[in-house]
Amino acid sequence: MRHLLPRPPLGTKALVVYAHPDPTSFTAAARDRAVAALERRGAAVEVLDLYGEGFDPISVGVDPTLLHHRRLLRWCNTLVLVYPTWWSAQPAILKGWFDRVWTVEGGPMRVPNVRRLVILTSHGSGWLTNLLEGRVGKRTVGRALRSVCHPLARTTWRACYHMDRNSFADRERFLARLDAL
Amino acid sequence: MTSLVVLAHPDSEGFLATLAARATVALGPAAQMLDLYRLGFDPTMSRPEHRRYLDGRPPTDPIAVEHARALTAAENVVFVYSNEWGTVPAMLKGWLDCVFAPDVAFTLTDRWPHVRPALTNVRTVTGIASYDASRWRVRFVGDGGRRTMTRAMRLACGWRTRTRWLPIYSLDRTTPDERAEFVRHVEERLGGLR
Repeated sequence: MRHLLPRPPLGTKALVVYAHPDPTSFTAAARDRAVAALERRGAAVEVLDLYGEGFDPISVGVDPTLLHHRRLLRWCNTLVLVYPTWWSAQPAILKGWFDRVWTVEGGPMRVPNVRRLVILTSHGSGWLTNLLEGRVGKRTVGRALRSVCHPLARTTWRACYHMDRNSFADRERFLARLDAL
Repeated sequence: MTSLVVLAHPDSEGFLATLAARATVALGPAAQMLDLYRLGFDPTMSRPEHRRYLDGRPPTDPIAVEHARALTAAENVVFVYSNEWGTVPAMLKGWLDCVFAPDVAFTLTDRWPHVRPALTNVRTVTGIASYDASRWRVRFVGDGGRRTMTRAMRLACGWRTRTRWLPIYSLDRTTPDERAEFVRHVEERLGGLR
């Protein structure tokens, strides 16, 4: 039923959360392409580079970084997550970002301001392998996180498969599709 | 049989820590427990380690190497964690990222299916998870941890590995009696593996 509804356009306030250890990676290129697409539409874009700022994914307790991230999360209406898929889910640093930033005292944080969730990810293996593995990352965002966003929030999932052996042209095609996000 | 219990919970005095300790005892004298928080495990894969991973080489980080050695010797692997956002907490996800590395958990080949299990020593994988949410809420929101243990792990262990799932739902609303009963249930299930 949801698929009959028109897809809401990318919002005016976008928070891009990027998690990859290597700043020269394909994932970084995907982030840059998505940020450019958002800015062309006139959206205000904030980027969080979790590896770059040395985000701590496991500490218990609140620090100024956490409060800053929560402020950005409550500000945005589009959340873009850019990460490589490891063991069918998000890297630990991004999982820790969910665990720490989205959990406030007394349970999960409510973010009804988030109306669109966009996931840009890469897989070493193929579509079928990820399906057999359980598509954990997709479900974590599409179900668990989306349950605290706007009730009509939509999820867009874009995955680039076979990173272990795909060609430059395959990757370029994935990046080109981001222009029309 | 050699067993490895992996505990990922910050409270080293709480219910899950007790549960993991009792599970280790139930698994017999050849069982070893890794309390990831107490060991100060760093779940963030660093850039050099990621480089090695992409090149298909095993980790060099001393803690990851030590844990990988324990993993490749284990016949039973037991994970104990509390569910966060529909899947395993970051600490345990990071342990999988860093320790389930090439030549430890799998080998890459040129021919299909490209990824071959390397942890063929592992006969059983057991997941013990606590949830704040009820059984029905978990079903609705999805249970990524369960899928990780019973499905994704098969890429590393192979299709013959037996998996078992021991969940405790609505942990906040359970009585001490119910918790004690759950611990007994876990001990009974794991006692058969020793």
